[in-house]
Amino acid sequence: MEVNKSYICIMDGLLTYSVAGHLFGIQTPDKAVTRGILSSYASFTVENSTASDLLFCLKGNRQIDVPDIPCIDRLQWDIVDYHYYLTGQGLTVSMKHENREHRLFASTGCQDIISDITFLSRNEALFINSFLRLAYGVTAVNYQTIKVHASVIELDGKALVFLGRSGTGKSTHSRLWLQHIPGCTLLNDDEPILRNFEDGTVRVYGAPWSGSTPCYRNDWAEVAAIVHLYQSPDNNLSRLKPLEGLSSLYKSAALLRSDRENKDKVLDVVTRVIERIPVYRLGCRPDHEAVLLTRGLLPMEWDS
Amino acid sequence: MQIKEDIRIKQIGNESILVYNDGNNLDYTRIISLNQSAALLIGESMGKEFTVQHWAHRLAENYGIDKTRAMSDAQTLVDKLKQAGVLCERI
Repeated sequence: MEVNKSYICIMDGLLTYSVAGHLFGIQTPDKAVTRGILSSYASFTVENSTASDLLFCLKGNRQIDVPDIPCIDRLQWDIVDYHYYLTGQGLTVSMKHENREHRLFASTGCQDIISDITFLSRNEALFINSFLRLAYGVTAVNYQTIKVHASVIELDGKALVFLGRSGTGKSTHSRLWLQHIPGCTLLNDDEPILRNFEDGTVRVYGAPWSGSTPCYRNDWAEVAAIVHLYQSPDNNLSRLKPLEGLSSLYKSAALLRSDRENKDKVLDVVTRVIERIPVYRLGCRPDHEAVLLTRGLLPMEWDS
Repeated sequence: MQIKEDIRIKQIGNESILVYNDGNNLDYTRIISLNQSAALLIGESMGKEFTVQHWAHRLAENYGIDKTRAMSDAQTLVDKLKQAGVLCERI
């Protein structure tokens, strides 16, 4: 009966979260400690769930060897140094920050995502967060769901998704909305999730990730428009052609740039979003007048 | 010659679009609008060797144009795609 016992023990240590309607799990030796480390995930917790229907389950306490081959990609992002290795078995990722290193292995198809994380140390928070973001990105794309670099404002269940390079003023524009438009809220300030639905609608969801703004809302709104922001001495808003909209959103989408299959899937989701949602270009100053331009993209009270 | 492996054609409404991820850097993502005949030729040539003559033949077949015009149109398209870095030549 030893086998049964350990099975129960494993299920006991399963923390489950739901982001944009997709469940994923973390198998931890101590749920309370891991919950404490992942405070931004609190509102995404799902109680009484089982291991079935998970996008993925991130497991820890395994030894992960780096394959003896050259890495296919290397990048520095979010103060972490990433190395990616691809073999017939799957993807190995090494993440280094200061003098610490942790590794993850995702089998082809991502049924199994294992790591050398203990889930018991606060020092691992950055690594767990990065692994979860990566695992979520590569699995959720199979369900018409992508993570984008954007700031999102919501008003009466409708949302505007503000894109733009870092430092352009996405967060500033959202903050101006909060100042000037009564009733609007910030849904996410850096890494919201876009999801296409069969009925032709596109929803944007909050996430346990939001850049430097602690805005971790488990909520969603229907996307009314996507707006790509550029700094400009004048405020002007114009609609982009589908081609330009595609380029704009694709460049803002999170993807595994060394993985052709992943990029294809992300492109497919982006294409479907662009077929449904208008994309605008806003040349703007950080002022009230710029907000009045984007305000016109959401329904007014007298419309209803 | 061949269409490079990283090329994808996507349909947005009535518009056919060619997307090309040049290497690993997203800043080099190129997106080109295609007319109907270009989308047809590129679509059916994915992963295959082709020549300007072959494309001209397909244009003449599909659009009922004469050989000279078909050759000229096919050559123009090949030149444009070469310029965009979308084609690779095999020796």
